[in-house]
Amino acid sequence: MSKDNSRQEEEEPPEPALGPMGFGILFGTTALYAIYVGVPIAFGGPASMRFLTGPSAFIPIAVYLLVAIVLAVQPRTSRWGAGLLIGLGIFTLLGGGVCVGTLAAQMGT
Amino acid sequence: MIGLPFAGDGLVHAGLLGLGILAALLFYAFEKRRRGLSDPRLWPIAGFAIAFGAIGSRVLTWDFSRQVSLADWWGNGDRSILAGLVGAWLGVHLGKRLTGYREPTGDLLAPAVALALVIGRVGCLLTELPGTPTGGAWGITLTPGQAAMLGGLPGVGLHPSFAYEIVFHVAAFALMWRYRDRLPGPGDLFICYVTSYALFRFGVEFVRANEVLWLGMSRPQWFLLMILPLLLWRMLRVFGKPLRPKLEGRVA
Repeated sequence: MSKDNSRQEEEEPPEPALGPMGFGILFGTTALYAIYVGVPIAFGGPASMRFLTGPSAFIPIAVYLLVAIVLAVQPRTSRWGAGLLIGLGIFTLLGGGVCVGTLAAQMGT
Repeated sequence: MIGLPFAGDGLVHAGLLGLGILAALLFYAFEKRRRGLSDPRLWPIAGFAIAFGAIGSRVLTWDFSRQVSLADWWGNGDRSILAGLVGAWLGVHLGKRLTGYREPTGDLLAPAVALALVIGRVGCLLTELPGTPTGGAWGITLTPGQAAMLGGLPGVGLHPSFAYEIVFHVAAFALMWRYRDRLPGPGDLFICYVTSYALFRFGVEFVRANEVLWLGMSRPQWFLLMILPLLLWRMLRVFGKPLRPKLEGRVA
């Protein structure tokens, strides 16, 4: 192994702690559950809501996905973005997907 | 005969699925460290896999012929592990393209996926319709109430198809652990895992009690029939080369 390579390995920055990614997961899942579970509860159920129903139910999740991707591909914010993407996966798999579907199935009044 | 303790219990299913994702992430972190991979783009790639896997498991099963809107399908349509794996694969490719990461990542992801499926399938085993009737004493028996809820036969031993799948993924995980550094090229571990799962899943579908689509085969079987030739061709390429004596280089 050349001297340059060994120096490069020595200079490699240590992997940052789970912090930003863990926070991204926590923030992302909480935000999504708040939007898709908390808001309908606060408004007395999906049937009594004029927004976030029908196709517009997908708008927050689409915006969230876009923001998460943009953050994930930027080197400075990649761990945040990774956390948000994992949070979206957890939300979708653990019941959140049903909430989005229920709202999307409501015809906006 | 064995009963189904948590039939239709979404909380139990979701809890075990969540544990599966957590175990996969922890294993991914461990394996990344063991391989000496510190590239910061590897975590976003894992994020892409999970997010697009979750979305894919709902969207990629969308059946236009049933004339159901995507919104309805998202909420009440079929969900599938196979569709989730395809979604995760697409997500990884998108993530790698957007981040500019060029190295193969399949070998890093494959054991983590197997681990997630071991735990996640326990959730399926405890809550979902097990399979078709079996004459064996190992069958799972549903009560009339459970049978009505899940669409199965009451009082008859049913194949514990999810238990079969758990055994498969445990064996696959053990084999991947054993040979993780010995296959000829980067990405070969992933190819072997996906191909063997596709073959296994094709067989287990015969006792799975999924809706038969055509010629006695279910929708997943027809999907697998389409991709299996490609996977088998890739697998033959893997075994056309000698095994490595030890890990060479720092590749995922």
